[in-house]
Amino acid sequence: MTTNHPDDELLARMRIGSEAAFAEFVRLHSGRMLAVARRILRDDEAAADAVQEGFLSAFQSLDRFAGQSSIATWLHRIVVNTSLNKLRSRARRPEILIDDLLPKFDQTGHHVEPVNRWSEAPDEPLQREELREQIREAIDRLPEDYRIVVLLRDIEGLDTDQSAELLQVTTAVIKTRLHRARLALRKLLEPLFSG
Amino acid sequence: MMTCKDVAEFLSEYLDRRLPWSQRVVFRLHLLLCRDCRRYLDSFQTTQRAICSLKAPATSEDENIPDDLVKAILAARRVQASDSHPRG
Repeated sequence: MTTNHPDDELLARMRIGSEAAFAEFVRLHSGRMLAVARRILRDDEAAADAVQEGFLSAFQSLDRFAGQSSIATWLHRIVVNTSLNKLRSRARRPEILIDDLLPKFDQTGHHVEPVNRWSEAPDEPLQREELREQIREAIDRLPEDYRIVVLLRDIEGLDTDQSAELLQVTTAVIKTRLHRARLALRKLLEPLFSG
Repeated sequence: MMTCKDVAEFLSEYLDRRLPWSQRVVFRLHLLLCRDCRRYLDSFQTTQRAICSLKAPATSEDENIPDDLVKAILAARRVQASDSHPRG
């Protein structure tokens, strides 16, 4: 029995070298892949390079694509990987220490400062692009190791195992970094929601 | 007895329902008695919603097609193809 997934026909045409099929595939996915690479690399030129490398890597391994996921998911993983490789190879920018963004407690384990109530009703303000931009900026301020985990897990939608594999760390490290990153982001977003 | 520091440490596990039942009970008891931690939990959840509001769209419909990049990728692919099947 054969399946008629929309990917199948395009994939078959690419496998026999159809130029039109490659063009269709690239036009279909390049916009989203560029957005993914930009989020990781925060640099348009490097992002474009990572996407190009990702597509070329995908073309080279078309015959090995087993169809266990959609072709878009498969390409997404490849572009995340090429983007992470670029990120690793470049010099790190100066970073805030994560400990400076974590909550502070006294010797008895109580909050050092009273916790302010945050404004709820996030639906309306969160839809505003201005606030979304401020949230993006807060994520950008996280130390790289933590920023990447937030991107992969909470924004790109990868699970813990997939993130651990791509970053070559254990799942326990991913869970710890994600939790600390969320605590740090809470601190960075506090001025937007509190008071 | 669980402290505010413990609550902050276990917040993600609590929200993801990964805390063992016994710890969950102690966690909830602390929340019941501690206004700071109730507020901290609320603000932590708001933070998570804020992050998730940036979640990547599942489709490429809203993305502009980067024409220059498309051309560059297709040109590079032709070079790649000719390198892997050299003529002559």
